[in-house]
Amino acid sequence: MNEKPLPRVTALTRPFWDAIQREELHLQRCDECSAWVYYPSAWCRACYSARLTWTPCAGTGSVYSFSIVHYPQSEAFAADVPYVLAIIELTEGPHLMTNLVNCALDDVRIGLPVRMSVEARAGGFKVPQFEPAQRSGRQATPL
Amino acid sequence: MHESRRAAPLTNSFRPAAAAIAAVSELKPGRYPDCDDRELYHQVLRKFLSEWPVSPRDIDGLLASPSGMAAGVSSNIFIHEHLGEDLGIRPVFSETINAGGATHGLMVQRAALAVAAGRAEGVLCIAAGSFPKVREGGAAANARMACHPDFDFLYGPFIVPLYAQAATRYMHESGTTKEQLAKVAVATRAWALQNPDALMRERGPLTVRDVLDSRPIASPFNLLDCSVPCDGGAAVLVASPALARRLNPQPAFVLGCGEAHTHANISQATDLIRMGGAIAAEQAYRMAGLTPADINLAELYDSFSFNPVLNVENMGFVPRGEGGRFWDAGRGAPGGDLPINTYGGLLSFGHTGDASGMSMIVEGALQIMGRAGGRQVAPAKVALVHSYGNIMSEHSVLILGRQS
Ligand SMILES: [Zn+2]
Repeated sequence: MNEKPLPRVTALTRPFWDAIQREELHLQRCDECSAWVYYPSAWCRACYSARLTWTPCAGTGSVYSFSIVHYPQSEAFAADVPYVLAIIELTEGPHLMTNLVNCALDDVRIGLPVRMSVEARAGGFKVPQFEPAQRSGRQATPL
Repeated sequence: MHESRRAAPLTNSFRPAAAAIAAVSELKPGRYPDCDDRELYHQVLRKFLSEWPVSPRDIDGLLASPSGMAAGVSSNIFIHEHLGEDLGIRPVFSETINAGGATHGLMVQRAALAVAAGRAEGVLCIAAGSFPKVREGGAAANARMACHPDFDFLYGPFIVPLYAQAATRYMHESGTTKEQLAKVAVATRAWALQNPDALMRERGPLTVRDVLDSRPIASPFNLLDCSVPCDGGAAVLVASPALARRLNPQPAFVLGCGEAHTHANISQATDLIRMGGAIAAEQAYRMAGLTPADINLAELYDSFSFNPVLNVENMGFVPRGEGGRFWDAGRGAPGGDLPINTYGGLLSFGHTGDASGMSMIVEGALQIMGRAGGRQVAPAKVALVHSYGNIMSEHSVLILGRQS
């Protein structure tokens, strides 16, 4: 448990992870009713259509809720405390759980505008993270 | 996300008071290092059979909750068959079921429905549990089940920061403060001081300052906002009114019950304020023909100090956003007008892992039976018992009462 976890990548989820490796956020969107679908799914959760298309998202959103974690879940996260576990509301609507990174703890708040960044884990595999859209004291670099 | 479309007919087939909790027994919470999982169930059975005039021959139904779930592995999902064999009985209604902390409330509901339908006469509901030590990898193994293993799990979640998502959002929307959360822990400790079995009784009273000064775990929760992990277990016999009256002059009748499941991942919950407990409570009130004003006392699953703040709202005791004020006013504390968690709660009685959802049922039933000793509240004609599993994913509400 000393390495941070990696996902199992399946045929269903591969397009999501392939896009993340290119530092892009793609989610499925329903061809019938235009609903965004997350997690990757074989059907639309709004209308149950099976016609879904992987579609780029803006990679922006805001903090919907969060917790500042002082006691690590496991050894893999021990070096990160305090770390922020957050629910991000994407501009497109879906909620994702990630960490909030590159953010002073005093600045963490509900409604904080955020944008996607990536974190490289074992073998260089990238997972999505979110950080403040305007980074304090530094010029933000676009994705 | 669609609400189930069937609202009205859901509760009509169950006659209120067609079943009752006839007998309850619970182990003193603590550590039982010399018991393996199976022996902990046996300890519960021995206590139950010694405290009540029940013969195994009175038991024709047996529902068990699996142990080991809190650590992310179940040691035996056939435990109901083993316990039936160990008791020398051949039940006609039996299974091992899991809905996390709601398991035990749902066992009582399933048992009451079976008794009301004539499928069984006496259904023993049993649980034994140990709460794994967080450091031993239990937190990660458990989190892998409590949230999506390939998405949410990647970010270091465990039970505390997952619940905290709901608390942070609720506090943001309602203006509730950490002091108000702390008042739940303080009130619950005050109840524990009146319960000789409560784990934290020896520690004496708590103050709001103690809670705020305790070690931060995951905001907004400090150590003393969290329940106390331990081992334990309990048994509850749900019986027909005739059998119940033979065993106990004042059984706790099941007047109403409700159940709701709303999400698997807290990140995907569409409403962090009005949660499944509110849906389950509405069903239970409708079935019982009662309103929140009829409730004399409530036992509300309190894995964290926040949860009874939210759930006095979701149970309909106060309007939206006023949970914090309920605790400010001391309404749930000893001497308050709506006693809450009269046994000391998971916060100060102890959280027995896989058996935790039993503690509030046992207490609710004891209060109705008039057997709660020095902490007996009056009047105790109607009690509400709410429990939930996973990250407030699955909810059970029971309304227990004296009248048949
Ligand atoms: Zn659709």
